Amino acid sequence: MTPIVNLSRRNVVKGLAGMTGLVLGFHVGPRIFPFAEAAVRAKTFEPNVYLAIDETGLVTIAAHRSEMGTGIRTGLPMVLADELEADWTRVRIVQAQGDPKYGDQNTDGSRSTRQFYQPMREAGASARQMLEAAAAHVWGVNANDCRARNHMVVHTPTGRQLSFGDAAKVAATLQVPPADHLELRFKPASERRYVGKPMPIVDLANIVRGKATYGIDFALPGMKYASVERCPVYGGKALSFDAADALKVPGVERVVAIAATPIPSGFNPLGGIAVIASNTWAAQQGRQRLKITWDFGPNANHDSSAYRAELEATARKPGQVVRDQGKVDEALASSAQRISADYFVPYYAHAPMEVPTAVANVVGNKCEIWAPTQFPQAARATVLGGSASSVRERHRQRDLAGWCLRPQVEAGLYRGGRLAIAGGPSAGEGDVDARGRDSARLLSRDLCPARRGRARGGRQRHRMASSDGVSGDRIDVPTGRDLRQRRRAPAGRYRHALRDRERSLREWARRQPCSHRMVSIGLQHPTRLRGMLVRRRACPCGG
Amino acid sequence: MPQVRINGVQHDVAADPQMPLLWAIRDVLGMTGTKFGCGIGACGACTVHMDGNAVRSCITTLADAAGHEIITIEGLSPDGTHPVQRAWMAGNIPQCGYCQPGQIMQAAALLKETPKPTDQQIIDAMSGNICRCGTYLRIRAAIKSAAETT
Repeated sequence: MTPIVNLSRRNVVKGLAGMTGLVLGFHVGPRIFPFAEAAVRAKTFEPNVYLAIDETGLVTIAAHRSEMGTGIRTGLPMVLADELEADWTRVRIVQAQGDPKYGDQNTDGSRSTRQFYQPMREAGASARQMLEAAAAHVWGVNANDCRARNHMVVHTPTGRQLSFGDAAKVAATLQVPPADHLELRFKPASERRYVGKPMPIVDLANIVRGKATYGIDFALPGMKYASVERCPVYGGKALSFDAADALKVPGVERVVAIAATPIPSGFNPLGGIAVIASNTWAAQQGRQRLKITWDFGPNANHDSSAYRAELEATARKPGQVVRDQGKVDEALASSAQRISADYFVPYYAHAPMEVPTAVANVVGNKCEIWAPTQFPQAARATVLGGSASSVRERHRQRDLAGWCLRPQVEAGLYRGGRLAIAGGPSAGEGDVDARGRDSARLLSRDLCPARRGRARGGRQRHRMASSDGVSGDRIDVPTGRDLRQRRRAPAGRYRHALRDRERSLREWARRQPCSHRMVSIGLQHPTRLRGMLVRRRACPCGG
Repeated sequence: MPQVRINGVQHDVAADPQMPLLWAIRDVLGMTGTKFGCGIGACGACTVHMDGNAVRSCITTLADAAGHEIITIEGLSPDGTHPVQRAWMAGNIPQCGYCQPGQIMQAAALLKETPKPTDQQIIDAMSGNICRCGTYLRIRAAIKSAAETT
């Protein structure tokens, strides 16, 4: 049961838009890592998604995931609105800012719907029931006779109606039943209005008119524009530079060096030379006129062909076993039929259509940042570092940096009034001296793809075998380091991925027309994951 | 100071005549519907109309644009109901939407020149507009739909 809290009577929230009426906060707990679920649950009663219904009946739903073209900004609010019995034409979607109150907003792993479908239903259903209870209170009737229907609460025996707006006003004053006493009633699937139906995305009209606001479209009055030349090799740094020609470009105001973060840099600044100008074009022109002497650093001689060979070798070695059940080796050795396939993905450029970008505004020791990012919390953590400065990160309306697996742009305020706008290894990056300046935008398409980090390549080895009787299950994780000298992530991170694979495997097994038992599969991913699953599966034919 | 006429309004742009029209539109004039994708005329996100023809504003200088009629996505129709925009709405075409203003401007120019394009003409005309979400098939369908309704 998801705890539901009526926040209308708390000072925590004054409503999504400063409105009065019913404001519900509900916790949508991460469910992706069951092994960690208990810990996550225990520490969070903090609401992270908000629904507000004002006196006019306007329903406001906060979209707390990043939109990258998947439609999640439409999809999750739709689930809530459906269960709420809200009229979609009277629903407004607002983009949630990057804020700890929303919990983990990391929009990755194709898991937003999987993770939040049920919590959204619960949020909608609980709000609907509270509106029904409010109407019952007004009419002095049994709440069981009141049913929400398309933005109205209807008293079934008499046909009396109360609008959502009027019901919300009352609901806001009512005592909310304790979470564990709230018995949620969900709508039957046959009564769904929006879920499972073709729905236009909420930004459609704005997009086709050029009015949608993307990260790159955000601007502050008088802000400066920065473009950063980075070392062509990850892990390198500038030894010296000559900015004389750059400074001759009309509009260029300053050129500043940014210190490189040593490997592994994580999401911290990669370093480089930043040209700050009054417009983007001048900044880009200035950057192209920089004369820089680079120290290419430890990866100066990195050879992607040799790296591939290394990956192939690593993938064939036993890794660190994190799960081992049954008789894996025996199953593989005794199987009558084996299928083996090797897959390789080279380094590749993300090349999202929207360039990595961020706007930062520094006032005193405070820094506010607008950036399209998949993971505002990680960006914030990077920004804050050890600093006690206050950072607000706003999550702009759209996040276009599709395909990137990591936060696109982070920003940081460092001591001495130094503002850094930093990207991870896969992002554009800069570091702007903003002393005496209000704000600056970093924009770095020129750096992409040539100067952006490549996505890590990878290699997978899949093995399948069929046999009778013998089964086992083993997951092992490769050891070693990649280009960025990162340590492998803990194996637990990949268990959900493995579960997905298992699910696919079951589907595969079910489709097999043979009488074989499909008993094993090996998964190998040298940079991220190497697991081996050995499963005994009976075919539908009963063989 | 370069003078350009954009969406029917004459602008004196306080910028280098060699500045790409894109940056004048976005940074100087503050119209952000036209998107920056690549800066080298390779993606189509910055497409605008110059005298009715689709051009890439990232490689069209202010000097080039002076004296011509420039239309951006904001000016394609007064109320966003150009047949192409209507077709885009009806088909729920965009995903992330970033490339779509460019796609729409390209499609509108195509239909102006070729009101009833063949499939191949659509493919040819739209081949310079990249969509990372992969909405190409829907875009083609929308163009055909717009062609039928005009």
